[in-house]
Amino acid sequence: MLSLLVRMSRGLGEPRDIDKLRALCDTVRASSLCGLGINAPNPLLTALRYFEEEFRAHVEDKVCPAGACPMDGMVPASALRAGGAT
Amino acid sequence: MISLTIDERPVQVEPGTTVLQAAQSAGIAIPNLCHHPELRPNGGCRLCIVDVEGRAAPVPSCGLLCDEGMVVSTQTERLQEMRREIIDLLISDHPLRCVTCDKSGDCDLQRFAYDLGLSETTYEVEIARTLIQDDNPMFVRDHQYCILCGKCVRVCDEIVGASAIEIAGRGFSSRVATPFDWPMADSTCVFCGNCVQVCPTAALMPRSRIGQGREWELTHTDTVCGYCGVGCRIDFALRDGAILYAQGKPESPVNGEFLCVKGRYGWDYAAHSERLTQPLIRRDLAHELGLTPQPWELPETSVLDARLGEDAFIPVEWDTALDVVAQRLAHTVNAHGPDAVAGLTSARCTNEDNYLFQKLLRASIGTNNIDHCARLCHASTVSGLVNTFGSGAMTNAIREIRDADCILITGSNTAESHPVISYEVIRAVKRGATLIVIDPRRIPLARHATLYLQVTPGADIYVFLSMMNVILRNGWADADFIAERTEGFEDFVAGVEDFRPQVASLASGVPAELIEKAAELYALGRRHQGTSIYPEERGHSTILYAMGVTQRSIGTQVVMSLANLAMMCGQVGKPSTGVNPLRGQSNVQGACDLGGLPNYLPGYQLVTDEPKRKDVAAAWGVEALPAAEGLTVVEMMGAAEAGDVRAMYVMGENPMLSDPNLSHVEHSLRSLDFLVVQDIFLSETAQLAHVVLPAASWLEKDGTKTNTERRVQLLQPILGVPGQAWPDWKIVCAVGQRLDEALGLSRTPEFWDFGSSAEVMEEARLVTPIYRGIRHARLGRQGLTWPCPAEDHPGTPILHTQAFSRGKGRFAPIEAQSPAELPDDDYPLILTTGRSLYHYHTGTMTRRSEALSWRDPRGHAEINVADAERVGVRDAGPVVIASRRGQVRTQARVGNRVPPGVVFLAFHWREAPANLLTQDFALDPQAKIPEFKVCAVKLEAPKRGRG
Repeated sequence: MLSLLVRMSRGLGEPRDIDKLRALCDTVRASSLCGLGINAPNPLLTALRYFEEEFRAHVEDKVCPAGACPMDGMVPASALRAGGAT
Repeated sequence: MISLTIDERPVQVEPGTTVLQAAQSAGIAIPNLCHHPELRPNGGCRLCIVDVEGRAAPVPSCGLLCDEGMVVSTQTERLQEMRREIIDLLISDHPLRCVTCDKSGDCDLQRFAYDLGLSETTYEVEIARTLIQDDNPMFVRDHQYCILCGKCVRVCDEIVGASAIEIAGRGFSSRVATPFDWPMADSTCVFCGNCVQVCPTAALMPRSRIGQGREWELTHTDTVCGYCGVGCRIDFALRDGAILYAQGKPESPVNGEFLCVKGRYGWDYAAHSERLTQPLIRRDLAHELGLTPQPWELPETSVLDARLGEDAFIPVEWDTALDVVAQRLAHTVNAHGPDAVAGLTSARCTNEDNYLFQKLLRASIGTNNIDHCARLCHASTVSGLVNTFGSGAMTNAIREIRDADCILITGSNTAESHPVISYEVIRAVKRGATLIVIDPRRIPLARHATLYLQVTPGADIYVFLSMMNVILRNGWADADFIAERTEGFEDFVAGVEDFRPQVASLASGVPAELIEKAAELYALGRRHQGTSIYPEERGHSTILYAMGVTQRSIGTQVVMSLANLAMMCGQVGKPSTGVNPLRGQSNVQGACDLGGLPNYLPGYQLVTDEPKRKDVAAAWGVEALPAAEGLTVVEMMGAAEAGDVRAMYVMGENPMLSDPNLSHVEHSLRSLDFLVVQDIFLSETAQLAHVVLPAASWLEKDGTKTNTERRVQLLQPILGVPGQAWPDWKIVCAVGQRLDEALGLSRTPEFWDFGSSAEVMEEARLVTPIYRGIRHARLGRQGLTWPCPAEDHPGTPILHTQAFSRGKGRFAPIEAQSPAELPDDDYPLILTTGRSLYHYHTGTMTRRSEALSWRDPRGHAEINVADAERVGVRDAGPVVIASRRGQVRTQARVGNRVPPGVVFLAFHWREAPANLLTQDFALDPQAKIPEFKVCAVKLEAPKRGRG
């Protein structure tokens, strides 16, 4: 999920990534063993519900309406691994 | 029974069944990657999720118990979508190199991706794990292919008990790792390869199959392992006639899917360049026979110091070799009488080989001088258990151990000598059974023990007597069992009264309270957690023992005290109880069963029992069979030295390393007029032989073997026989035919004429009552446990259920006694001998296996820190161990595995033969077994510059 979001924030997202994110959130919520997995996707799902237009702007028009994302077309290798999350 | 509905189908199951098991039993496949039927449910891969009516979210079926009326769906569109997502995530972190992957066609991940129609991942991420761990000759771990299912971790922990690996790190840096990422060899790994076996992907692969072909190019054949007496079935994968890897099969009756390091990796010796491929005649005899012009003399240097090679022999045709053997043996019989010939049969050969070999000695030569290495391992079991129970074998089946409530292990380093039986013990302990280990060495299983009693070598008998004392005083004995099933209790009880725990504690070094606790756990079968599967109030306790008990000058007494202990508590004749000797070699049970003993005809019929002897003679069509008991292994060596035994025929034995006091053995073998050795390598014994006959190894044979639980199992040849080697039974028949001719004995043609090993069994079963119902065609993959007296008899997994084999169980009065050679001022330490995990007996096979000799190439002695400091020996430094009979130099391993005052040395090493040190003067009076487990030695640090 993080990897998909990082790609969007760099302007590398695809329109299909939004559906991909939703599907992933659903699977993780429904089939996780622990409470973390069941709840972790919630913030992202909420953001997708209330701010879907923002996401669309990132992946369709390649702009960040809030001006917060770099949108520079670069993806650091470490970000491919969920920001090297350890 | 519970009724539920799965995918609209009604299913009935026993309580305690999981939904996954229920679905599988109904033929409904639910995908899963982390489930294994022998492991506890894990619920990690989430692929086995199912929808249950009334539950909002899907549930993993591997950990979900069936409930009455449950309605389960396993294949809804939503579930399939989620499974697709999970596989998508897994393959985003797994290289999709299926076209070149060795596991292709045999990979669970590939199979489920195929089923769900995923050819590539929709995620663009790099694979986090890149490490390839390639630090041992057995297997390679390629972390890229790992899907973190955790099966390898769980099998290592729940089955093997080694706990060498764990999932380390979090998130994307999660990986299977040893502590501190040490190399496998520095971890507690025992290289059993069971992790490799359960790995669903190519993350763990046997090194031997990498790049050698994919599953669909291989053929599979299974046979019975030729190492220890557990009798695991091994499935060999072959390509173009060569073995690529070995694995267990779930349907194997003893081991299931699991194997130990020797079974899984110890097969490469069969193709070793030193295999004997043609008959050999030693140069001095060859010269005498005019086969070579150059005279030659056997060097006087010991073969242990200067190995003789094949150049000391000349290769000959079978006809020549067989004629020489027949003529020399016939000459000895004619000149010195039949008792001047002795034969050693083999616990590694099949039942058929052994049956014919004893027939050769008894019918053709006319002597009972036949024995084998059972004399050196479980002779005291046979004498001790026959005295008390009436049958000298394991009373119960191996698979019952996992259900025991209390397990008492004494004198058995089970995890190293019978690893697959130790897996049963580990399973029982993980389910809540208590484990009592009584052993001088802190053996690997001691780590899992509820109670560990570190006993002085040779003093265990005081502990057993004292346990019985405690049991009687506390009223824990099973009075009903004693009254109904046994005799001699009153006579025996008096001998126990003196052995209060305080007394035994002084003699054995075991604290009195540990003895009391052990007595309680064993007598009442107490668990440390969980509930017994057995309904009675008294739990089921089982005793496992091996050579620590038997290889003693009072071996019979110790065995009988274990039998007394079990009878006193009623722990015999029921599942998961009994007195269970773990036998050392793959067919040591069968070699005894089929008459490879100087006092027994096949089926434990005494040679001195005239009617039985006459029956066998009649069945063979010979006039008479020798009536006097023959010589045992150690007695043969004495008789050879004295000139009473002049010729010996040794089939697949290596007394030049396995017998006590080797200097004496070598002198005896050199004194013989004629020695013929039949083997697969030029063993230390074969180097002293006049004629060497090349035989087939267990990987090249058919026939049957009988494992330690009395299960007769069928072998299948895996490999072709090398060169001109023959299966042993064919060689024995050929020798027999020619010998009979040379002796002028007239025989019917069928006396030595057998078309197959199955035909040999047809004859053997007729003279062996306990095998009468055993025919090759009946055995299949499961085998049959003897006694099997008729062709419709199903076999007998548990002995003594209604009555003991001898009628009533007999309480034998015990005479406790100290070992024959105790430490003194000159030789202040006790040497105890045994085995290493990676080697087997005299190492003729294992030391020629690349994988096995990698881990333990030259051997070592275990020495306590205190003793090492006193003589100035360093860990990994050289040490000299000397006894009154000789000295050996080896590497010291200094630690706390042995207590102060005790030294341990395995007996596999020709460079440091433990049996140069052991004594052969004090034998158990009944069993004639030597005391390998206790002799007095001293240590020295070698001076610099020597050796």
